[in-house]
Amino acid sequence: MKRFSSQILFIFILALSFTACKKDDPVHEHENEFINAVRIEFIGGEETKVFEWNEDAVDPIVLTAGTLYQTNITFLNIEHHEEDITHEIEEDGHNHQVFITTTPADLLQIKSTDKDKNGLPIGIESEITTTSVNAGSLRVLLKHYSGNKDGNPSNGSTDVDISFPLTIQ
Amino acid sequence: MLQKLLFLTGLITWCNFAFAQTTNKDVVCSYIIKGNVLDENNQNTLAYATVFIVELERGEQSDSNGFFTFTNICPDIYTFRITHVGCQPRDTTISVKGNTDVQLFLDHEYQELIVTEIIGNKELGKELNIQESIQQLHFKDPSKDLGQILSNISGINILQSGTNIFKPIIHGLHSDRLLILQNQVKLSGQSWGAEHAPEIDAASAQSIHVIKGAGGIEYGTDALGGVIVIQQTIPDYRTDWTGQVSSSFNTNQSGFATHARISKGWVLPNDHKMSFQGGGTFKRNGDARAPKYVLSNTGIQENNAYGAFSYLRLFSNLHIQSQTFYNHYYRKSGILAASHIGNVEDLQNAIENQKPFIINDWTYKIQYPRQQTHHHTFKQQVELSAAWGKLQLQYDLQQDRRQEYDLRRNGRSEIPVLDLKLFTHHIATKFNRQIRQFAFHTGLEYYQKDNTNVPGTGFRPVVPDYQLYNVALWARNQWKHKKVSLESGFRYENHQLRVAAFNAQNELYKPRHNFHTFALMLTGDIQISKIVHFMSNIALASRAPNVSELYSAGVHQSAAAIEYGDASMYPERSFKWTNRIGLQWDSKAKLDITPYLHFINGYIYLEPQNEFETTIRGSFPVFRYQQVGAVGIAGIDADLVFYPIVNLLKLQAQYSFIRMTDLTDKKDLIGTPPNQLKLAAGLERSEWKKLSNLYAVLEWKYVGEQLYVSRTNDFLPPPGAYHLLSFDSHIEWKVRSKTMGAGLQITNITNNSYRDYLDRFRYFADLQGINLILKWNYNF
Repeated sequence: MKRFSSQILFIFILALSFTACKKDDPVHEHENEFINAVRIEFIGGEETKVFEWNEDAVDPIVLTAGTLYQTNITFLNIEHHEEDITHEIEEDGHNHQVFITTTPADLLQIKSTDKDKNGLPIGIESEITTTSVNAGSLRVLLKHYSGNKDGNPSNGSTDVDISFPLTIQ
Repeated sequence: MLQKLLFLTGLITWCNFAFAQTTNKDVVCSYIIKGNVLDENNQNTLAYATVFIVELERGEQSDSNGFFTFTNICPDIYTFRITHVGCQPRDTTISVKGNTDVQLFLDHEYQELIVTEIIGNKELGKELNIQESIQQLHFKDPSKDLGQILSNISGINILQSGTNIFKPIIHGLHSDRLLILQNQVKLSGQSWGAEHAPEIDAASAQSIHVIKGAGGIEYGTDALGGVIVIQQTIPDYRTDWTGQVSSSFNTNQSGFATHARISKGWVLPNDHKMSFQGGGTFKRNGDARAPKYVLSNTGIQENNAYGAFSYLRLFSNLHIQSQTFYNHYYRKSGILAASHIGNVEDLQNAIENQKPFIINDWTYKIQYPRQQTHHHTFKQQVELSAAWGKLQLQYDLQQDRRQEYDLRRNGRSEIPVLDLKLFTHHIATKFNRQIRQFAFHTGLEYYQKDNTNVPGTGFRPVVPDYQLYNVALWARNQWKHKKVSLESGFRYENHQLRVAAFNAQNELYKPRHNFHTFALMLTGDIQISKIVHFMSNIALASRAPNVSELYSAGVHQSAAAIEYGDASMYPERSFKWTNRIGLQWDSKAKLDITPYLHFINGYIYLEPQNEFETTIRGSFPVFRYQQVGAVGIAGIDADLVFYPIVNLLKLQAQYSFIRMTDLTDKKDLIGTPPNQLKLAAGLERSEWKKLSNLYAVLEWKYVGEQLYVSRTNDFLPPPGAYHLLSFDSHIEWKVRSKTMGAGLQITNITNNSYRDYLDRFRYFADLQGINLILKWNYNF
């Protein structure tokens, strides 16, 4: 009997001791792998133009008609020391692909120039040729695949899907 | 005298009738065992207890006077398992040499004849009747999940996330509106998520009961839908080493599962009695296979280990019992690879594609996305009983760790996107006393929950850190007179919630909430005639909003949705009226009808907003947790069992119907279970030559198309009706007085491709195709 009384007492003391602790404040998580800005660089016609998309502002893209541009896309986390995430996409290129499309569809001729280890395009670097004077929009779609990269933009999960206004003058 | 009363088996008397004496030496399997079940504390009869002969897998329910009858029993030594909701089940060994009258005793711990539990007890009866022997076999197959076992009961559906994550739904309600008790410990996990299955190893359960009435007075005011009670037996203190091993192999997932259990009792000098039970489950499943493709990344790994130690000391005027229980549950579940999507366009692409985008070669490997959970449960209980009543003290501790992994870049997939640690402490004291026809019970409880997001995920947490302090007080009393029982009870809870969250500007803020919830219950039970039995339960219950309903904010990745909580929400209040009409024609046929009506005021649910939020990852539909003025739920469960030839042929039918309506906006609710019909025909025989417990059952299950749901706010209309054919069989035989058993089960015999409305992954893939399950067991 005595043994049990002490056992009960022990349990209660044990239980109450847990109730007394104060909780630490939570730590804010740095979401540093998130892409929150996209820059697209156009080199051609003896000049270099850079356009940026972020959650606060979108630069309208203005290009010259009948010009060949070398383009380069940069994916950034601007909230976290302007971190460049593009290299992560290049390193995991066989599971990523960037699709650049326009509305209307024939605004630009786009040819991806980089290849992943399986010889499939990554799409970070391309050659873009403008045709006639027109206006519309340019969409950048970054797809993340899980070992099933097949160049199909409706497959995979979307990491980036944004649009720039586009003018060809 | 007291010692005798408290002892496990009690009095057994033999009555050999002239019939038995005149038979020759051939084995006669026509003996009748009659008996009654009594409460060993006060010799009162225990109505609606279930007596189950383990070796024969046959069960009977005691009637309102505690009497039961088994027919066609062969001479042998049998283990009688007596169960009653809320009691510890108990095993008693009885040697049958002829027609036998037995008296079985159960320590009816809280002397409860709470009728909500008897409505639940209907299920208990089912579990152990011939009808339930199908369910018993699920116990024999350790690969079955709790949700899969429970879905054999009418009125219970499962909320699935593909082929390996199952959450029970009782009468249309799930998650935080149900309570799950494991050995009297209220399971405390991250139950708010639709893809978070209860952390329970069903193979270690020795009895599972479902209470369909609301307002579990002893368990929690938030049991709006019902209570699931999982128990393990305390072995007899005189048992020598005994054990059981059961295993199964399935072809669909090339899966293997095994469960082993051992127990031993000791009776020491000076009336010290001790017993031990320990066991574990091991489960491995590879990818599931739909009829047309492999469901990639749907394997599971599960390990569970438990140990229970009990001690009993009898003094002349006092009896002290102590129980210590520990359980560790671990599960790693793959989540269908193709369900990983970025935004709503990906979801629409997945729907249009008809089959999953990712189909890899079959493997045991679990990659991304996946969930990993560790759940530890420790319980210490001490009970004192004497002439003044019974006093019980309990402390339990649970630690739940949930880690969810998703596909990430740069080797970060090995870092969880969600990492939650939840500690729960619970202290409870209970007292009960019985004076003649009147029984009184009361209790005081204290809960403390502490939820922490383990830092380092690199993701904004879906639920914030919080602490919850909960104090509960309850009382109930019962009155019984001849064929009528009445029960009433109330429970009050106070919830103090302290949250530490980050707002949209990443500033820490610490809101506090204080909620009061209550439950009130009234139940009546009457045996109208030998055939007709009626029971009615009225319960008021209320549930405080949980932290995810109050503070969700952000993208819910697996649902491709942006979800927002609402911190101004108040507790849901519910009124549920459950009735049961039971008709029994001797051992020929049995019909149970359970209609119910349920109104919930302030029902909380995630409402689609018909608006899209554009992020850098594309557009996401917005959902907000909202409270509906009034929700009405109406439904009926019906169960019929008919034996055209007793001990040979059995036919059964099960039907359930439910409708859930938002009465304020006059629209049907999303997620209402479709109507369901099951028909089964089986051959059953307790003995045949040297074999025992033979059966073979063919079952046809029809799930209707859900027509009564709002279609405007879903990405895909509910899938069409489907039917499934399954077969199950089993035999047992003796090897040197030990029992060996083997069985074959086939599910989805016709290899149907189908999708279920309650499967969250119905947008992505079909469910499992044909599956052959081989199972065997050995009892020693």
